[in-house]
Amino acid sequence: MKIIADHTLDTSFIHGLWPGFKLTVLFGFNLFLFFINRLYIIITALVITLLLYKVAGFSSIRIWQKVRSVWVFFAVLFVFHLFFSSWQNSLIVVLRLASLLLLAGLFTLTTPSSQIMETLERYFIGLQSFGAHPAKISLALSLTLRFIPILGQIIHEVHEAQQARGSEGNIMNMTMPMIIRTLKISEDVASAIEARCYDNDA
Amino acid sequence: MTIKDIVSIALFAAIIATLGLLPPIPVPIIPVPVTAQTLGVMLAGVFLGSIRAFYAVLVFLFLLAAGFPLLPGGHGGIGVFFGPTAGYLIGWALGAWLIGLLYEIFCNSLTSVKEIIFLFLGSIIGIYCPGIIWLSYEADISIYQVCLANLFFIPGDIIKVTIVFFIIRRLRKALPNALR
Repeated sequence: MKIIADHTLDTSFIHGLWPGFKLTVLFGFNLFLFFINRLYIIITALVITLLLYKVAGFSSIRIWQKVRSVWVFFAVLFVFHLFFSSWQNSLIVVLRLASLLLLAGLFTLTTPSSQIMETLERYFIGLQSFGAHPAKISLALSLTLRFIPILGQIIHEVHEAQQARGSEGNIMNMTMPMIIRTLKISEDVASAIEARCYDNDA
Repeated sequence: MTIKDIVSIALFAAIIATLGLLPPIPVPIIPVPVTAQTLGVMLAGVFLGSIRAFYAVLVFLFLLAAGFPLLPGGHGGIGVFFGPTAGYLIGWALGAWLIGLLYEIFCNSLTSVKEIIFLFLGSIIGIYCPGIIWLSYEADISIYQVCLANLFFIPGDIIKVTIVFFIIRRLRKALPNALR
């Protein structure tokens, strides 16, 4: 089982920018777009986004990949607004959505997950005064990433066991042993961490 | 939060992520697929209770924002929080919290009917409300029309609630300590 994050390893001006800065620009830009209802501003925003893709060295295929999963929705939305409001409005709605998604996609493409997590975890330290524990949040995040392949393994094993018995069609026969095994594992992991004296009341 | 709490939060976040590996069922008109991941959201609410279930979904959403493609079909990245499904994702946190809360309040007087009602309340009020509001705002469609399109989810939800209900019932017999 593989989980591959979407970012690329190329180096460009945008790849090298500080992720916190990119995140702030992304949120600022998208917030701005949400309150704008002028067609020419939204077209400008879309052109800027497409130019940024070029600056980062991505081909048009990348841009298409980002939009591919939602283009049917875009088409339906466009036709819908064409009938119920004006053609300007349908262009505004669709183009705004496209530039929102494309800019956010550019951020994911140019920033490795480790950097994003690092940046966001820095914000947790700011939340400390509100009762958040950055160390515990980090523990939960890394445990989650570790649990995903373990769960995949359990699914595989249970499936094989049921196949051997010839009862693979039954959903309940699959899920019950899976859930019981995962709950057992969580108990084991918790006691393993406690046995190593991980700070319990930090 | 004890270590045990953190481990179970991480476990259910991972369960939600793993259920995303099952292929999504596309729904006509609206770009929000039927996914098995809400099964994990409901289970988290039932097993963990309000606060911890809420955190479990938050952990999942955080990893999603960090760029891991944990949604069905390999979607992920911060873009999903600006896309048409963003409201439903926020709704997962709300739905898990609501189911957990209802189970906590009525933990001494649970009946099968009540459980089914709770699970439906969680998925309809918790998950749909933010989803519908966001989708109608972003796509500039009236709330009534989005609600109509949303009806496509109801059959999937009935199946999911049924599965969760039977899982819980059988787990009570198999592991009486797992559920309070």
